[in-house]
Amino acid sequence: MRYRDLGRTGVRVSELACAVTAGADPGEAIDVIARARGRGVNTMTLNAEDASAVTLLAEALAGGGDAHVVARATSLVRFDLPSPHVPAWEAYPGAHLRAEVERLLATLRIERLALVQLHAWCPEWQGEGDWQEALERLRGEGKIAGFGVSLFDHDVDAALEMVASGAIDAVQLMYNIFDPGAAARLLPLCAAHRVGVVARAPLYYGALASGFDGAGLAAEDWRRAYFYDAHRLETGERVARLAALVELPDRSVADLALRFAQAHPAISTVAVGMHRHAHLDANLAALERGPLERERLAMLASHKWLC
Amino acid sequence: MLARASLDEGARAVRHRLDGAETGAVELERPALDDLPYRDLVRALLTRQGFKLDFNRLDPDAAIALVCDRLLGPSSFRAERAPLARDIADLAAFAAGLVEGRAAISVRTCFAPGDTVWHVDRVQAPAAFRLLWPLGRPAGMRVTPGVNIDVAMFRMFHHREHPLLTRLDTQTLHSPTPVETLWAHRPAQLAAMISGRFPFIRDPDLEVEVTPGAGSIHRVQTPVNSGTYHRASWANRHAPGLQIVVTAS
Repeated sequence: MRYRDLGRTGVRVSELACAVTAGADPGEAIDVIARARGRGVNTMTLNAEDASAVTLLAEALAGGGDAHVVARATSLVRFDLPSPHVPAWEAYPGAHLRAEVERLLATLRIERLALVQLHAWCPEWQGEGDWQEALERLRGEGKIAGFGVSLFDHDVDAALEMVASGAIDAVQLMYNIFDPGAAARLLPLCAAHRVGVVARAPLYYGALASGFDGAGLAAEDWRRAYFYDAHRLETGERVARLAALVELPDRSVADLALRFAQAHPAISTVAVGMHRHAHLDANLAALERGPLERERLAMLASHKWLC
Repeated sequence: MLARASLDEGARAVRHRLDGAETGAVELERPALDDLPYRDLVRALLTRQGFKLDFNRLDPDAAIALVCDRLLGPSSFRAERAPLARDIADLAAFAAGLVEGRAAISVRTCFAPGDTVWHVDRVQAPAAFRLLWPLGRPAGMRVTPGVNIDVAMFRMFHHREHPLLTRLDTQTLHSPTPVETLWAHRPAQLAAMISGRFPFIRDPDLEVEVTPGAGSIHRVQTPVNSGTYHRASWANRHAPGLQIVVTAS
């Protein structure tokens, strides 16, 4: 496993991170995390509001050892979209952030979170409310190594001012073959300001993974609604076009997609949901081959869609 | 056809009609552009580069003066500024009366392609309405009842599309690059904006167009109220008009 700096935090994160959710078989998911850690994966991401994921991770970490946990904070206001009309002091009040961090530390039985990130970030929140002061204090107390923002899918321009301000340590964002939008401005800016980047959804919610069947997803899986018919069909057509580009050493579109995400030097870690041992093995094997070659990256540029 | 309303009825009566409207919208009678004393000012503004101005703390007189000074010259259309500002102030006062609240005013002459996608406006307030009066554009806003929307699909559609549409609007405002070029890599999504056909619409013919040149008032989504589903027409792309927008909450 290779490791990269998480911005200025001093934390070295594995190039692959486990995006922790409970999944259909929590027992196997715990085993997968344990095996991943054994293979050098030291970074886990989760949504703090996902109680089952927190519980699962607590069990997986019970044996001790290094673990860098990246947590997306829970907003007190429910919103489906970036919501600049909701003020920061309502969505992420400082006292709430402190309480949530302390609750996570206690539940996970760890001394420090690697990162806390405010999700669905709106530029209007910069300088609004007391979230920044609260997180700076938590960082000063050593309860978190850093803090940052997590961008709503495809909303990569939302973090430009915040990154340039130097106030945050890291950004979390979607980055994949369909949405390489962050590479235009945000990722170079992050590199220039030594801001870490957690890339999520490199497999576009599973659509770029082998054997994906959007119509066959379980009824309780939110992706079943996300990939409504028109979306699923267009995605399938685009994945089929990518399949024609797969060549050794890659064995699948998923391999191509993971090595694509890994290839940008500004990205600290690539977070992938892995509930099965086979997924873990495949992902590790792909990333061990290293970043995608320059000419193949250029070839994928024409496959952008969600930017 | 949308229920019709006029300023003369008073805010309370129009609010009652809005509350009873299936779409949450009414059409507002307004004079034709040709009959307005500031028609030449409006037409002159429409020849300039598209802009958007939020009035914020500026009163309408100061805001219109700012727009005219910057875009048309310091001594331009002196006599026409005041009646335009007065009409805007009257509309704002009327809209505020719908909720017994405050009105936020903006004017714009730019085309926002994101508006061609069915959407609801949102604010964080107990109740809110948006009054829109577009001057000098060929097509009216479309509205459709909430029952015509597959809400789950609508939500997921916008989960994917909302940030992309917002960025497209910004790019269009700041760059002369055609929308077709900016979204050449998204042909299906571009085609939907042009045709107005979206997957979450149950009956694509169940939409009502506000009469071109008329005003309209529609419900804005708040934490406790649903909003009116509406979209702009691609037909306004090259002639977006001067749009007076008042959001009362």
